[in-house]
Amino acid sequence: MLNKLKKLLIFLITFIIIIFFNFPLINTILTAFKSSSAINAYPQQWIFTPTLTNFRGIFQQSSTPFGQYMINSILIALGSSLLALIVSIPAAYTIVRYKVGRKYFFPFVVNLRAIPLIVFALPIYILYRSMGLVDTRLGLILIDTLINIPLALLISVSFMQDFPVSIEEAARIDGCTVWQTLIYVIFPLMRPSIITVGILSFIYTWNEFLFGMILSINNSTPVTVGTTMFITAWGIKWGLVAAAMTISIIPPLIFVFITQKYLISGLAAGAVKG
Amino acid sequence: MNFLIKILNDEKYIKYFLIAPLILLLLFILGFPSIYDLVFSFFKVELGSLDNVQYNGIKNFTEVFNDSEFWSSVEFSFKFTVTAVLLEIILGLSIALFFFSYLKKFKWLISFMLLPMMTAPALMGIMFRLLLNDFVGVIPQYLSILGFPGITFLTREHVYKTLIIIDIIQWTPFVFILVFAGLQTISKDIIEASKIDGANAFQRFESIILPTITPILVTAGFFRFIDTFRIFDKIYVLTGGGPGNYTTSISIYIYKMAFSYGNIGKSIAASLFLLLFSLIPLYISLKFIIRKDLD
Repeated sequence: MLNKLKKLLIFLITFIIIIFFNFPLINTILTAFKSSSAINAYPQQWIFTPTLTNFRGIFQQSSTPFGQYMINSILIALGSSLLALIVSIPAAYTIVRYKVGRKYFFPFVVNLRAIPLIVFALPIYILYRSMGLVDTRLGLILIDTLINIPLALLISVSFMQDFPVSIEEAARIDGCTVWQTLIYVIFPLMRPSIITVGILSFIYTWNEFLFGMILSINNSTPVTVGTTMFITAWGIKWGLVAAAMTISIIPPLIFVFITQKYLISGLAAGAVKG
Repeated sequence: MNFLIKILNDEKYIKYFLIAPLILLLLFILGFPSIYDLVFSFFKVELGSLDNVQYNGIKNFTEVFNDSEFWSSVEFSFKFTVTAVLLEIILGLSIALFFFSYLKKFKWLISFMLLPMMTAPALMGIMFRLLLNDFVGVIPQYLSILGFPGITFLTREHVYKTLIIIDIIQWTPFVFILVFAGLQTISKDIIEASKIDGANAFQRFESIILPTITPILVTAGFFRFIDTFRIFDKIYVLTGGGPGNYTTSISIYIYKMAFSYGNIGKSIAASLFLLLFSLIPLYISLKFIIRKDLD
């Protein structure tokens, strides 16, 4: 009896903790499914007839093309995660196997994340203006890659350090060139860390706001910035804002529930080692 | 062509080919901004006329130095960071310790705890604008039903506390998850053995749990510190640094100086100050956090 009571109590506390930390999210998702009269109801209704009006609404406004924002965010996030991986993994190989840049370059790159991004915002804007990269996805991909590189390099290096050299040596004896060894032996072995880096970079880029705001006018606007476009000087249609936010959190939501293992190992690597 | 392939496969050079893309990319993205920041902090540049620059000596620096808004933003950032990070560590640690004994049963708990920190900070800010809205917000409504009507969360009176709580809601889970993951590395046998040896809960905490989680708490706190210190998104969408410049963090100050007032020279001078501040944590982590992993 006492044991059951204890279990119930623990369950209750867990429930309260989850609700507490996720309340903004829950409230936003509920609001997204409410009609505007339900949103303005006093007091709040927790039980209501759900409607998809808001979700249709955000895709119908020509001044705020939400579909376009989503495509932008997907392409930018994919592009910069890929680019971060492409430059970091080979560099990690050099750092680990050839011991080049181990002492200063590697710690320097990993610690770039301690530098506040705002410091680069203005010069990047000026550089991009002269190169025609303002309001392009490529421009945002490049700057977001800078945000992703520290973690990508850190995870790649610490993962590669645990590889036994003997596998590579065997491949080399069998006649593989260094490039072939990299492509056919190392990359496949690095799959777990590639997935971890890919997912975390995707989420970080997806959530990026500062550069998305400064460097885009309307062609390359990502969802985080696009969502704020529904907040206008003429008033806020909360139903639309909530629907936009609900759609914007779908990718992180999917990753959190499906690839939890990779997320935690990435976060732990980022915090414990770097 | 053959020559090229030969060089590409040469053991002597291959290590440089592999690291070159990273270096080139960093040079491209970091090189220009660094030089620009260093050079133009000594010039008078306006956002409206970028090509019309005038040598200004150290005037940008003295202007920033004598700007009370700058110092109040520095003070805000420090105060906000220390308060928020301390509370996040205490709360995250407590929750992790509470769940320590029930690890296996509540694995799905971790997914829900990951959610807030994986939400974009900017969106988290807007979500709170919705929650705290005077007309449609749930929280003011329920507070007025409970007998506390008319509390306005984003006014000078309450805005600081409100921002702290929002930061806590988003980032306590970060501390929780790291500590929780660390606790899982403690073997159950040691805990059992200590129980048999007659150690009480406090002794167990002091001699088994604390040594395991102290380095985790230090690094978690360190990362929360550098991230909170440069806070921008959340404050920008919630208050824009206001009311007045009451919630202007250093990042917001630099942004406003450049993009609202158009005073680029002064903004850059302030960025260099911020860069100097951030060299301190950079140095600390180079010295104490990275090294042990390298050698």
